[in-house]
Amino acid sequence: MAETTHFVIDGDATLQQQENTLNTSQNLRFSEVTVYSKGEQNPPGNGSATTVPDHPNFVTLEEVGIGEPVRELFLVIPTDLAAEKIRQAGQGRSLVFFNDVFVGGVLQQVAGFH
Amino acid sequence: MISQPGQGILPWLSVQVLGTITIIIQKMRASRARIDALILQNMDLDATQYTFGEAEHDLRELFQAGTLQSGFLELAASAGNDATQAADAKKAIQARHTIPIATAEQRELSRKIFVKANSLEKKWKDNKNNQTGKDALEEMLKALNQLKELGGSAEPGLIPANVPADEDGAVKLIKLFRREIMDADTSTEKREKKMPALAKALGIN
Repeated sequence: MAETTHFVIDGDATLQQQENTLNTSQNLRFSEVTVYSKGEQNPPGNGSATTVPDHPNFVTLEEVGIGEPVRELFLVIPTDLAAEKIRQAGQGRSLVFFNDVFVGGVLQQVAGFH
Repeated sequence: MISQPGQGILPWLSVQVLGTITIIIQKMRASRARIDALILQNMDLDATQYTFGEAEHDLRELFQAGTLQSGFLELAASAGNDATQAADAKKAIQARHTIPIATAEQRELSRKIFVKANSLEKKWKDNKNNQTGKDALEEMLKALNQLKELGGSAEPGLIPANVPADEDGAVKLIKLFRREIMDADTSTEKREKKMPALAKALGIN
């Protein structure tokens, strides 16, 4: 049953907006984010013509089995990843990804925790 | 200037030609190995399934597979496959759907929808052979029918008239139920219209 799907998220959005979007998609698609990273950047002004944002982020979602839970996703821009992992582990969360992601149109190193 | 042995363009050219010949020979071998494997596989069949005529044809193919011409054909096919795969990968990236940005309220509503839908799925999963499981399917079916009236995406005829009695039918119904909810995530308009409809159909306040 597990199905993997790939989508684009607008990297001009804030980190909070992206977190809201990823969690909404996780819930409505019965899926969990497995990969999230910056996509190939469009030439300036090309976004509206191709419907692909100027600063696209690529997300991979994997569908969960029938009756299986979907864990909430938390996005963080950590100053110290090791310390952040310990902090998140204290709340029962583990690292899903740590990648370059467009946030507000600017590349940032973003960590995702489930 | 004419190049001397061991330097200039001639050694370079000979290396390139040698490399190309090696690739073609590898392709010839690959072509022959594939036919060889097919023959070996067919040898397990009896004479009525693998006739003399078919065997003769395969032997001719095996001979042809080892020729220079087949090497070129194999190379061209391989290059064609690479190009097709690259084009498919490019198309897949271009075809990626852009998910609309969600608000904090939509995130919260989607969580409530998931919790309700997940509880029904779990109820069925843990009670496949009793009334509790049937009740969970009944509730999904009711929600699907209610959504149909509100402009759901399920094609007419796909929604079963009654709760399926067998497990395969139940799984199909659950998949249909999931697809209907997933459809709410495909555009800003659907998020705004369909999420409240889903909440209503699932009895979420």
